[in-house]
Amino acid sequence: MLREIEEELLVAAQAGNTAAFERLVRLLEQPMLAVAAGFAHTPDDANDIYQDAMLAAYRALPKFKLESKFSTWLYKIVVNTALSNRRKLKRAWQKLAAVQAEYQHEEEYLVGVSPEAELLDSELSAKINQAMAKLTDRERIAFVLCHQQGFKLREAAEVMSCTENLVKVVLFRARAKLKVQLADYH
Amino acid sequence: MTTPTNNERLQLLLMDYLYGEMTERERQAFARELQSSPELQALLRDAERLDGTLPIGTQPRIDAERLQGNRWMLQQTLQREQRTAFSLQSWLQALAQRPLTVAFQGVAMAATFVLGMLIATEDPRGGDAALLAGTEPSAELSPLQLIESDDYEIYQLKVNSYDAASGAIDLSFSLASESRVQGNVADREIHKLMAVALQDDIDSASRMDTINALQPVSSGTDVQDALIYVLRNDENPGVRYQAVQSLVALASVDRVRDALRYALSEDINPGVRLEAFQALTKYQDPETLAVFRQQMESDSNEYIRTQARNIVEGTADAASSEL
Repeated sequence: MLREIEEELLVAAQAGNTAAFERLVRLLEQPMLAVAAGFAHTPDDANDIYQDAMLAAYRALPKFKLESKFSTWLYKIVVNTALSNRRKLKRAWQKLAAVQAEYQHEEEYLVGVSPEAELLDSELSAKINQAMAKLTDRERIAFVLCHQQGFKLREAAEVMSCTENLVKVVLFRARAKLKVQLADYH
Repeated sequence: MTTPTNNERLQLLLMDYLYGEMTERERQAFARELQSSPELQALLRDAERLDGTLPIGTQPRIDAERLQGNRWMLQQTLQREQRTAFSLQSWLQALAQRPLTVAFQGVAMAATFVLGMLIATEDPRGGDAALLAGTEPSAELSPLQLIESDDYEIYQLKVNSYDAASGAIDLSFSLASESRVQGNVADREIHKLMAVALQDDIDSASRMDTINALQPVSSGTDVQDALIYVLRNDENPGVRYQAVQSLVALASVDRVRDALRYALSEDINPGVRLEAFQALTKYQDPETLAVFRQQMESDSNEYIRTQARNIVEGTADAASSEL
């Protein structure tokens, strides 16, 4: 039933119905924004990535094949947009970081997404942001998808267009780097 | 093909255990291997240490307000996109569905019409040559004049209230357009458009690029107003920093100094405050000294506190020796 509704919305969105596209996106907006935030330096950057990705998705929608999984396709676009925007926004960020060592406008982290989810203290959140910035693009994608968003390895492999084994290797490396970076908190 | 070492095999196994979908049987096999392999035990201990600090599912906080904001932004973006796509796409599609000769006729008619309009219409802006030469237009211009009436549409028209007896009506609506302008940043029309855009809804990176491009013409009143607006209101400290950098050279202007004093006392970003402070040190008027007096006690930045105190005490010493 859900699949049927999704297909109906997809067909309408492919014909240019923006309301249908918004409804499709709404089901995934929280995790997709969180994925964008996993790649960004600041919440503003993450919001920009999300908006750019959604516009790119809307433009590419006529090429989407109904037999594919919409959420995987959309996540791929968010990840690719995040990677290209990260390069674009790097210059602005460097300028910002140079002037503000005590910059507070960063992503904060929650353990889980339920309303009762516990907010990590700002010092640890800042440290996580710094540690995440030291990962390679691939390590970051694997970590954001599997560890933060709870993707199964095969789902992450689909988004990353690689084998499951490669996801495991990259994820292990990401975890090893983060363990070192966050050693003071273990 | 390379065969993984035992350690690599165990690493993959551990990732399967933590993130994969192990069957009950695979879990039992994992538990057996764990009992017999000190290497796997060490890897799992390490993994548990990280997961203790950063449990699976820890992720950036996305609150309801942020979701709402993004939803609204996306709606606006899609509506703009739909309008732009509609006119061009539908025209081209309609054309493509006709026989080729009719399509050519259509193109020829459209081209003739456009050429006719260009020849017959007197360009109110004096044409591109004036634009590129950077000449000042004689009349007061609004950036909206760069947008032709065909380029925008009214959407989201709402009747906020209507009194049937008196006929009084309250309407609100949005205008959307997609336009492209080429010219020189020195041209007032261009930089006025950019100055207005700075105060509207464009992304942080574009705001920074716009301020950068406007730097050579920042002495113009409209640009100054936009930079002051950004300094006082922009939520992104990087953008405010860029604005304050453009304004420091204009600190001799009263309203710029006002904005700098506001930034020094109110901005939460020490980089922005520092730039404002340094620009103001050359202007020790009573209002500026009052802000220095306040900051020498309360600023979180030690450099600003110390320097502000030096200036305030220096000014007091000079005044008493004159007496």
